[in-house]
Amino acid sequence: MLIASIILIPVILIVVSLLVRQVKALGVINALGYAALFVVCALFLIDFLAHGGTPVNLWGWVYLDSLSVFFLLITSIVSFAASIYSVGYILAEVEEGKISTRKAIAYFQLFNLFCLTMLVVPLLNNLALVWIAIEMTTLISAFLVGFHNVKESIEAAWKYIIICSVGITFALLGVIFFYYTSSKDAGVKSLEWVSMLSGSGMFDPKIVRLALIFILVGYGTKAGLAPMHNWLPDAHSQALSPISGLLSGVLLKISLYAILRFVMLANLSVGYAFSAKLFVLFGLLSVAVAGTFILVQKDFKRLLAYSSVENIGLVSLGLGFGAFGGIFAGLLHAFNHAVTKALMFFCAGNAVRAYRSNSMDKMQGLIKVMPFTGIVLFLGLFALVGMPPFSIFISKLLILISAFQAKHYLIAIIILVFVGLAFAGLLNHISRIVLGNVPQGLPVQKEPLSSKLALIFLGTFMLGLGLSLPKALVDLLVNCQQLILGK
Amino acid sequence: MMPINNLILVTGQVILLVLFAPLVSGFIRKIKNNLRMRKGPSVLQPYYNVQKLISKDEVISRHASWIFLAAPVIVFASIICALFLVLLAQLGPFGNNDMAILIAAFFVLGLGRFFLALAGLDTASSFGGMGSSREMFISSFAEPIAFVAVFVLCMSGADTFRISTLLAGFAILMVTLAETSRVPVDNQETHLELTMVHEAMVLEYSGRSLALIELASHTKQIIFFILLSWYFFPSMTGGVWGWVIFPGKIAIISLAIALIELSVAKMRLFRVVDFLSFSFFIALLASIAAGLGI
Amino acid sequence: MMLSIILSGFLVATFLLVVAKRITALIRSFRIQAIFLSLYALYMGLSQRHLEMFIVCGLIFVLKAIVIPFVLLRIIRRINVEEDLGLLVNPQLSLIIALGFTYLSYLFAHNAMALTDPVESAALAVSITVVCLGFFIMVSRMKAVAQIIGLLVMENGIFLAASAISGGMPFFVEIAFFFDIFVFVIIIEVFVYKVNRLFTHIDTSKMKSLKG
Repeated sequence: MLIASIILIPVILIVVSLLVRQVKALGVINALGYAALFVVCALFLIDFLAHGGTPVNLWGWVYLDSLSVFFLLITSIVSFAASIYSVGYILAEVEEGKISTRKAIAYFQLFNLFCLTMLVVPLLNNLALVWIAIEMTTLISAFLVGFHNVKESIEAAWKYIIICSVGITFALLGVIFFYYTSSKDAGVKSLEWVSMLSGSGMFDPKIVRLALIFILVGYGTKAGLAPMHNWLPDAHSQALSPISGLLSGVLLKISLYAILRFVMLANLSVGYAFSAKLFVLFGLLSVAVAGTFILVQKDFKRLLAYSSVENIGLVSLGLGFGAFGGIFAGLLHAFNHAVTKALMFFCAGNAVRAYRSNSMDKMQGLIKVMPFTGIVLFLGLFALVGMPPFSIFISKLLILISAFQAKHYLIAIIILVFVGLAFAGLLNHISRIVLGNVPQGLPVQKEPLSSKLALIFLGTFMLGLGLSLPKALVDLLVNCQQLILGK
Repeated sequence: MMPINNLILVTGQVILLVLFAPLVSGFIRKIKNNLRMRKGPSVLQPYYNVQKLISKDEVISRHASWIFLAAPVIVFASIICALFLVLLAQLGPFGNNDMAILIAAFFVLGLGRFFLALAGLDTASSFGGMGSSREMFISSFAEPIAFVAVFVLCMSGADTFRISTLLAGFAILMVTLAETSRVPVDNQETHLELTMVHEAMVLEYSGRSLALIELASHTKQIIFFILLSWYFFPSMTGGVWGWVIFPGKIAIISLAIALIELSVAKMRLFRVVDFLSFSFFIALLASIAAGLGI
Repeated sequence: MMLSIILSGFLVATFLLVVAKRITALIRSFRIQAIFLSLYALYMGLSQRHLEMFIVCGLIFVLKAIVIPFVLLRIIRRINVEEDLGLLVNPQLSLIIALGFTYLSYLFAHNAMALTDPVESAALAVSITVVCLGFFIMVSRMKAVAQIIGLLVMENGIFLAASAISGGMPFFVEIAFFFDIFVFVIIIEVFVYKVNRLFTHIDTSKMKSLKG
C-alpha cells in the first residue's frame, strides 16, 4: 500500500499538472503531494525497521531492502524540498517574464516525471529496468537542463544527454556481462537482482571483474565521478536551481545506488576488495580533480557543481574503505551531501535572482541584499566544508577514520590535501559572496516564502543530523553496510 | 608434377571459358538494360562485336612502333596464361604451392597490363596516355588488395563460409569492379566521357587487334568471377556438380555486379583511392581474421 | 555458416559507417547495419525456435531500418544541414584505427571472455568492435546527427553482444530497450532542432560557451 503510493503520488501529480492551468495552485498542489510522499516514505521507513529490515519482494518486480529504502528516503526529502522551493521560484520566473505560463506548467510536468523516474529506480528488482529508468532520468532531466532555451543551456543539455547516454551504454555492456555469467555459470537466466544474487557465488570472477569496471565507468559517468564528470558542471550550472538541487542531491546518488547493486552481486565471486579498489581509484580522482577546479571557478553554480564532484568522490572513497566502517560513513555522507548541496543550490538560485547573474564577481554582500538567504548560505558553506556542528563534519570524519583504519595512510593524506584545497576555495569564493561590498544601486530584496520554507526544512536536517544521529537512520545504515558487504 | 590428364582437363576448361566469357559480358549488359526498362542488344552481342571486328580492316597510326602491334597478342596471351594458372590452383588443395600459382597468375596479368599501358602511350595520342596513366594509377591500388585477399584464401581455405574469406571476398569484389572497369571506378558503356579509363587506353585500336583486346577483357572478367566464386560459394567446386552449378554461380555474381553498377554513381578519379583503400582495409582485416583462424 | 555471412556483413556495414564522409552515406550504412542485425535476430529465432526472437527481428527491422533512418533523414531535410560530417579524423586514418579496435576486441573476446565456440567468440568480437567503433564515431565526427548515429551503433553492438553470448535477453527487457531507443531518438530529435535554431549549425565542436 505504502509502496504503491510512492509511485502513485507522482503519477497523480502528473495528471494534475495536465489539468490545472494556474501556476501557483499547481505549485502548491505539487508541494503538498511531495509532502505526502515524504510522509509515506518516513512511515514506510518506520514500518520497515519495525519488521527488522526484512526485504520486501512484490511479485518479483519490486524489491526493497535497506539500501533501497535509504535511497528512497534521500529522494523523497530532496524532492520535497525542491517542490516547495519550486513554487516561489517558478512564480518569480513567470513574473519576470522569463518563461510563459504554459512553460511553467510544463515545468511541473517534467519535474514530476523526473522525480517519478528517480523514485522508481530503488524500487525495481530487474536490473535492466533499473538501467532503463536511469536512462529515462537523463532524457527527462535534459529538458529541465535546457529549460531556458538559450545557447548555454541547450549546449549543456546536449552534452549532458550525449555523455550520459554513452556512459550508460557502457553500463549496459556491464549488465550484459553479468547476465552472461549468471546464465552460463550459475544457470540463472534472469535479470532479477534477487535471483542473480542467489547464484552469484558461481559467477566467473574474470567476467565479473570486467563487468564491474564497465558498470563503474558507465554509471559512474552518471554519478559524476571523475574523469567522466565533464557534463556535470555544465548541466548543474545551466539547470533551473531546484533542478540543480535534485540533480546534485539525488540523481548522482541514484546512479551510485545502481553501482552498489552490482557490487553486491560481485561480492561472492571477486570479493568486496576488488570493488573497493575501484571505488578508491575513482574517488581519489574525483576529489583531486574537483579540489583543483574549485579554486579557479567564476560561476557560482559551477563552483557548487564541482563541489558535488568532490563530495561524490568522498562518498566513493568511503565505500572504498568499506570493510572498516566506510560504507556507513560513505552513505551517511551521501545523505548529508544531498541535503546540504540542495540547500546551497536553492540559496544560489535566490542569489542569482537577486543579482541577475551567475558570476561570482558580481555577487557581493548577499547578507545585506537578501539577509535570510545570506545567513543560510553562510551556514551552508560551513556545513559543506565540513565544520562542526553540521552533519557533513561527522561523515567526513568517519570517512577519514575508516581510511586510517584501512591503513591507507598515503591516500588519507592525499584526501586531506585536496579536501583542504576545496575548503580554501569554497571559503574564499563564498565568503566574498556573502560578506563583500554590495554593488551600487542594488535594493534589498526578499526571497519568496516558499524558498524560506525549503531552506528551513533542509537546514533542519543539515544541523539536526550534526547534533545527533537518529537511531532509525543508524539502524538503516548499519543494515546497508551489512548488505553491501554481503554479511 | 601434374599428371597429364589434369593438364588436358585444364586446357579444355580454358578453351571453354574463353568461349564462354563474352556471354557473361553480354548477360550483364542485358540485365542492366532490362532493369533500366530498356530492350538492349541480345546476349550474344559481344560475339557479334568480335566477329565484326575480325572481318574489318585495321588502321594503324604512322607513329606506332612494334609495341603497338605486339601488345594485343601479349595481353591476350598473358590473360589466357593467368586463367590457366588460376584453374591449376583450383585443382589442388590449397597449400603453399598453390598459393604460389595464384600469385604467379596475378603477375602474369600484370605483364599484360604493362604492355597495354605501353601501347596506349605508344601512339602519343592524348587519350591513350591519359588512359594508361589512370589504369596504372588504379591498378597500383588494386593489385596489393588482390594479393592480400588471395593470401587470406590460402590461409583459411575455401571449404566453408568463414568470416575471413567472406571479408576478403568483399575486398576482391571491390577490386573486381576496378579491374573490369565497372561503374564506380570506370564505365564500359561510353566512349564519350573524359573520365574513361580502360576505353581511353585502347582507343587507337581497331579491327583484329581490338577484337583480341576485347576478348582478353572478357576473359579477365571471368578470371575475377571465378575468384569471387571461391570466396562466396566455398566447397562447391569439385566433381560433376561443380560443372553443373558453375554457370549458376557466375550468373549470380553477374547479377550482383549489374545491380551494383546500377545502384551507385561513378566516382571522381581521386575518390577511387578512398574506394580502394576501404577495400584494402577490409582485406587486411580479413587477413587478421584468417591469422586468428575464424 | 549463415552466422559467418551475417557477421561479416554486419562488420562491413560498420566499416562503411566509419569511412562515411557524408551524412546521407552514414544513414544509409546505418540502415544496412540494422538490416544485418535483424537478419541476425531472424537467424537466432530460426535456430532456437523462439517465437519471441521473430518479434524482436521484426521490431529491429521496423525501428532501426525504417523508423530511425526516417527520423534522421527528416532532421536533415528540415534543418537543411550541409552534408559534411565534420570529421576530426579522416576516413583512411579512421580505418586504421578501426582495424586496431577490431583486433583488440578479438583479443578481448578470445582471451578475457574465454569462449570456446569460435563463432560465438567471433560474434562477441564483432559486437565489441561495433561498440568501440560507435564510440569512435561519436568522438571523431562533430555533427550532432553523427553523434546520434554513433550512439545507436553502440546500442546495436550491445544488442549483438547480448544475443551472441547469452542467447538474448528476456523478452520484455528487449521490448523495454526498444521503447528506450525510440524515446531516445524522439527526444534527441527535439534537441537537434533546438541546437540548430540557437546555434544555426549542429557542429558540436563549435559549442564552446561553457568552459572550465
